Amino acid sequence: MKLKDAREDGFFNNSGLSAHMEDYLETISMLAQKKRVVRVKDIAKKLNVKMPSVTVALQKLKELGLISYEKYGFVELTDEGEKIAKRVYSRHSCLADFFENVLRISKVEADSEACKVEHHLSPQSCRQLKRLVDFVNSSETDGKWKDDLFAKMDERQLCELKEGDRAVIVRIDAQGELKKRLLELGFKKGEQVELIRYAPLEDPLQVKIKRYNVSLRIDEAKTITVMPVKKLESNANR
Amino acid sequence: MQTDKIIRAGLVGNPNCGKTTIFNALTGLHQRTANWSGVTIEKKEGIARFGELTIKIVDLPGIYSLSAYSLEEIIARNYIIHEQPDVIVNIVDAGNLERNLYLTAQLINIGVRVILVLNMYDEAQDQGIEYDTEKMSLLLGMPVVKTVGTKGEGIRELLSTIVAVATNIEKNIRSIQINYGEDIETEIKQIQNKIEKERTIGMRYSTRWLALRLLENDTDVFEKLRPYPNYGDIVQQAKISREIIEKKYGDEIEIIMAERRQGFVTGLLKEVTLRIKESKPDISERIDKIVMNKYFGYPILLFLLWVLFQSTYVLGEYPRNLIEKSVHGLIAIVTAILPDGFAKRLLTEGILAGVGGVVVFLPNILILFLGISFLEDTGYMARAAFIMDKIMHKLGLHGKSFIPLVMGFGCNVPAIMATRSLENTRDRIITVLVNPFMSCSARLPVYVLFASVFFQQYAGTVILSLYFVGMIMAFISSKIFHILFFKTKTAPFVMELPPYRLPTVRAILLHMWNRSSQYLRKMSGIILLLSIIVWLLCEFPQHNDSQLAFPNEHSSPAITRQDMNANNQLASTQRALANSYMGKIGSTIAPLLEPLGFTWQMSVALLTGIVAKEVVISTLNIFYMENRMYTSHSRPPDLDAALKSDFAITPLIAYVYMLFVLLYIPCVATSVAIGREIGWQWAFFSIAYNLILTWIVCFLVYRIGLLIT
Repeated sequence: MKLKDAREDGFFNNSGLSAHMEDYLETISMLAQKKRVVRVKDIAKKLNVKMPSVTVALQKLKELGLISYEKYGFVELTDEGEKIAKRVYSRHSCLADFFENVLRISKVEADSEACKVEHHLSPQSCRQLKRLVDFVNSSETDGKWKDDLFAKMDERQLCELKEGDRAVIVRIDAQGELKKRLLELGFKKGEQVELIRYAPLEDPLQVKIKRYNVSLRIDEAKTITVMPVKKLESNANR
Repeated sequence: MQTDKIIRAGLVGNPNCGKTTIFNALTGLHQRTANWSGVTIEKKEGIARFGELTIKIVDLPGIYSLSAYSLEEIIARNYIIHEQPDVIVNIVDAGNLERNLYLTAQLINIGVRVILVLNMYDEAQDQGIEYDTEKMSLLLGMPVVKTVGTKGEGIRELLSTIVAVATNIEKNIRSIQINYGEDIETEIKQIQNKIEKERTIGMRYSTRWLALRLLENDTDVFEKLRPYPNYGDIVQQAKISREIIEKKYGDEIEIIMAERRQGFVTGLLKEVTLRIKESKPDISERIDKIVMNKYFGYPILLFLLWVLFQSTYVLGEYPRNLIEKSVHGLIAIVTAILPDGFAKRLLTEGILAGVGGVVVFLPNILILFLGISFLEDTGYMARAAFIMDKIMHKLGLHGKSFIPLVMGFGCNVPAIMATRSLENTRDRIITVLVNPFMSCSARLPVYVLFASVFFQQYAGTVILSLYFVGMIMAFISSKIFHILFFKTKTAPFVMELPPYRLPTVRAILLHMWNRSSQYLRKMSGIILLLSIIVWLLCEFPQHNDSQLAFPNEHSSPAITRQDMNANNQLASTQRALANSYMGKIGSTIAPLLEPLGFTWQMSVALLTGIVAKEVVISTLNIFYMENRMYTSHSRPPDLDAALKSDFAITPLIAYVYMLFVLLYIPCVATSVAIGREIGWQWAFFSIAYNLILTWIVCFLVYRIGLLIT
């Protein structure tokens, strides 16, 4: 099984390098897959740092024997460097996978979240996460529980949407006057809404429902649970 | 057909469906505005004529449904059920039927004959919408009329349809039922059976409608049935039925029923829609992108407010001056013609001056409402509320409170009248009650006098601080009112942002005319009366000069016999005022104000200031200066010295005095405006609250000030 291989390879083991250095190795590895040669300026661009900083870091990595690099030349990973880079990358992709496919946040966000936390997880947490992700991703485990989980994770409060997002109303938890007002304005299960904008001070917000525009305070929008439309389409079970 | 019969029709519809436009088109100038009995919601009635027939039309409050949650809904519903109009005209926005027809669905089975008016049909056509109105009429069992209210299109047809329905010759009236599905229908029948045990109920109400409302737990309907002997049975059955349905569908009854009704509307629209295009990004969205923009939104709002403020108070100044001049001219003429005596003074100083004080507001009111109705009718007002709501909500107010509050800096009277754009009664009451704390322009002369005398180069800062104190008091008070009166409920903000529309000149002029005539009819009389009463209190009782003595002489050591002898004429005016009822009241309440450092003269001046706050200065003038006619704006140069030396006023007392003028009792005109707009109990509350608050604030400032200095 995949999981066992991963442990034997020590995939999630800590490299002992700083987060910074790990990022460099990971970047070089990723660039090397895409391009034939890796240059300093490519790295600088990818990591959004200045060229001199890259040079300093590369010098250090070279001293550690992880890369081979001559001034003004190409950058290449040594075998040892390649190994660490793979490890770091596998941690990243496991986390990104978790964020995207279990927590069900967008791919772009999942990627950036993974970058933020990948250096700080213990090998054990990583392995456990991978177990969970593999279990959820496997088609053998399909069933109602998974549909329910995905439906739950895909839910958002109306006020979590971004400007321009469309969503379908799942549930309204408002009470009393507010609930009644929402109902008579056409807010009901299955109705599509589009978040047009937030006010300049972030509260209230404007949504389009049916063919008209309505403004709601954030506190009121919190009572409306929706499912973003894009997620709905990608969800094969619906 | 009886020709002398008056047909009664009620207009119902959602907010922003163009109901008022239709009302105006039907009635023209033959309309009057009042309040529904006991509440502060506006009731508009008008007369339309069709041949020999007279049609009395009532414009009901704009509502989204008839479920009797809000006051507006209860009013509309009670009118429909209890007054049994000959016909209900349900006006809907043709471009927005999905939402508008929800109300129509609730009108079915209520027991009145309904005409459906598809208003703004041209706008809908522009959006690519077309309906089969004949089929719609057939399916709804009510005649359907297409109109364009702003152009007067379809109004004639609407009138003839009203007449046809009222005289029972309309063939499209048919009783239909919304099918709520077998399970629910069974329960409706169950409840209906229980109700029909008492035959008299069926004579008053539609039993199916009652059953529906009971099923939806409508407390107002429960109250209506309480007097009947089978009330207990009915309640029991309604409860059981409700539980059965809720259990079956796993949702709350209101949601289930609302969904069924919406399902009915959706189904109906599917049947009658001939064509519909997906709406493209329209002009409204493009305007919104600018006026609700992060960076431009507030500057645009401020600019519009500036224009509104300037035109109301600066432009309004010219006709205002003209009116003041004419009144003064008239007074001069009367003074010249009539012989001296009480009658002359009553006419000139009492009545004519009072009339002047009333009509002087008119230019401001006219211009302000020209602007406000433009902002409202175009749809911008809702946007202003949208971008201001966060701040205003924090302060316990509503986004729409912003404009009336700012206008209060000019004059509180038109500002309070402008709160009508707030649909929610609670928000409106609070906005009205805090408005007097917005320092109006009439208070400025008092500040200018005291600040320039006592604070010289810091005068500007001191005056500014007063404006801020006013605003802070407004916001503190709004919080207090929330706690005192509206603790349990927060009104939902859920507000439609209607598409931008260009209002017709006619609509705006009508609106302006309505407001101004309302001011003249409803407020002017009382303001005039109160002004005259205050004048009389200052004038009576009349004495011979020689018999007069100063009351409270011990408390005013600054004035000595010597001073008085220096100017006998002045002394006599002073004494006349001091011995008048007003002077007596003033000196009676003086001990109350002594802890704030005020002399009795200062107290009397405050008392006369309730007519209009700038009067405080002229009263002080009478006390402190030579006997001369002063207007509020002319200030003899040595009043300064008089204030300092004769009355021993320290800068601290001066500041406290200004605070008092800022906060105390709204002036007569403002109090009347409050009374007329939201009810007299609130006007009295406002007076009492302001007085107590003022006293506490002034006391604290004075005492703390004494400790510091």
